[in-house]
Amino acid sequence: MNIDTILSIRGLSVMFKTEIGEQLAVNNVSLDMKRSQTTAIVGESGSGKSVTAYAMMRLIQAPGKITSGQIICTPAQQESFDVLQLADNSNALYHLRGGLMAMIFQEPMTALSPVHTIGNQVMEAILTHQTVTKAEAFELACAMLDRVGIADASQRMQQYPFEFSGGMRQRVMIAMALVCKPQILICDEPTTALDVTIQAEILALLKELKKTIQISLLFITHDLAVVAQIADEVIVMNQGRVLETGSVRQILNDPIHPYTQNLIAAVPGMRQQDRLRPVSSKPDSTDYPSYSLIPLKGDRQVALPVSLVPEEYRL
Amino acid sequence: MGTYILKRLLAMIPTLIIISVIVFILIQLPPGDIISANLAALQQQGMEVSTEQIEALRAQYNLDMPLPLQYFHWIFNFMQGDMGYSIKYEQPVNTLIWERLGYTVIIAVASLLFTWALAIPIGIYSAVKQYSFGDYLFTVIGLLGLATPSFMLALILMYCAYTWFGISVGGLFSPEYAEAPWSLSKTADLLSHIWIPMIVLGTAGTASIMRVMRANLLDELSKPYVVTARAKGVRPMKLIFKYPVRIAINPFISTIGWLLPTLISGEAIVSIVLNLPTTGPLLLQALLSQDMFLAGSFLMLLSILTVLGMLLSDILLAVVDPRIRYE
Repeated sequence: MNIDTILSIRGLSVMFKTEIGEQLAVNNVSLDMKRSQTTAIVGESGSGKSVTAYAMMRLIQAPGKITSGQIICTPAQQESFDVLQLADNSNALYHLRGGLMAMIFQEPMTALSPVHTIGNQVMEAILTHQTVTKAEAFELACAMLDRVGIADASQRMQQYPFEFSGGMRQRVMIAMALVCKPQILICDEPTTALDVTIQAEILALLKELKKTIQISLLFITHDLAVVAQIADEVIVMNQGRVLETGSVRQILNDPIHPYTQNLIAAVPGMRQQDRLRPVSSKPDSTDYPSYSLIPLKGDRQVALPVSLVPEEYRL
Repeated sequence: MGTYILKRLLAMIPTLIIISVIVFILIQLPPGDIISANLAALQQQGMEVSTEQIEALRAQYNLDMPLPLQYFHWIFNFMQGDMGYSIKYEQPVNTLIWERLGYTVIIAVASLLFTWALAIPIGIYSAVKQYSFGDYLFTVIGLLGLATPSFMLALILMYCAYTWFGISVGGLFSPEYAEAPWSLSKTADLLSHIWIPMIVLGTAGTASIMRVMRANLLDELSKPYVVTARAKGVRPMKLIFKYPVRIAINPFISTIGWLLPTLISGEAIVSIVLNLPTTGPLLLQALLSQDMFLAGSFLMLLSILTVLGMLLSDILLAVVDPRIRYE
């Protein structure tokens, strides 16, 4: 772990008890997030990317359980601590949720309470973490809504989520997440439920926000086009494991792991004539046996035996 | 909102006119009327009643008019607040109904509060601690309450209260207060009697409300907005009450209005067992003895309360749920 790492996950496993037995949704995952960078986790549905993010904020609920691992968080000018060691219901844990890390979700249509005003919900985030008066919280919330591009913020504060479009709701979610100045923002497929133009607006907003406020983004997506636009570092996950990590350039232009190569080959191109190639991902994970990550040249890692890694990448 | 309520009130008028016609026809449907029923009773006692007397009686209650005229007579008086005269009780219907209606409302509200105070917290507990020992325990107790007939529970409670505490708990008042004017001690006497009907009537509804609350809340607990609030760092107690409970409780608010009609007819059997001066037993008697003005007034009041109750439900729901308010 070097000094630039804000969050470092080591050996994280999350188990879900189901009727067909115990399922490891996240299997011995290790990854690092660099400070003030955008780290993208890519993978198919069920690859464990969302569960990893939920574990970072200790949001996993029964029947899920974090069975092992460490999540070392190093906030700016503060001591490192292990998120998984925080006591349930401790002040530190509630400060972590919303104060240190914040999250925006895939479905802006359902992620806000339908019977509370936008203002109420954004102000709640402020009042939970800061000792300010309601009037001050109102001002802060207005300023933040204005900042994410919602016009007439003080009027729109009185409105309910169903009076907002999907894109506007996602802006509200972003405002609500950022209003307490967290150091890590987890975006769990924030553009998946939006149409392409709104998707572009939200991505532009996130990029612009990241530039102006020093924040580390964890971006979870299955959309490689989005990864290309926003990510600095990429982590490829499949069936609860990390298969490959590296910079966005390394992963998209020069993937090593066969799964990553398949994933990139499955992206439809403008001039594509043949059928799309499906990504093979059998649930029993026999396709990609559990090799552990090995470090390679250029600060990248891949989960393959050294013998299968082309000579030029090896250390 | 104002125009909405006005529209709804206006729409009630044709509904009530149709209901009043149906009520009137229903009352007239059984063969005979209360005069012939009374007559049969008198003749059994060996009294001679002349045809003129019978006709005079019929004329007194307008029973000699053609049916449509009788209807208009009845309904116009009803609208002016005169509900007619009960032949069986030999009293104006107004004096018979209003006092009983007052007690009925008191008992119904008390048992409703009892039900909610018990069922909603338990429902919340059962949902939050799903499949825990407490969840199962309360479910079993609730189902027992649902399966026990109310009159049975009433008898058991009366028996226990009498044998263990030596208090007679039938009725709403002790004999010495029954006819007394209202005073502090009469109110205290009422309170010492009202708990049995409150528990008996309240227990019946507890189980179903408990289970519905549990199911509603379980649905809401897994909604994304709950995760959002958790991710914001909201404390668990505040979170549960502010978000999912707030939404899970809406269906109950919308059922408040439905309780209005059950005020009159709901607890007849329990009232008879417990000797309560409520409207249920009176309605039953009126229907049995074909006391047309009394029965007709009851049925009309029931209908009006039903229609008003629906409106009340809709207004309350609009107040608590902005999504409905704006549509």
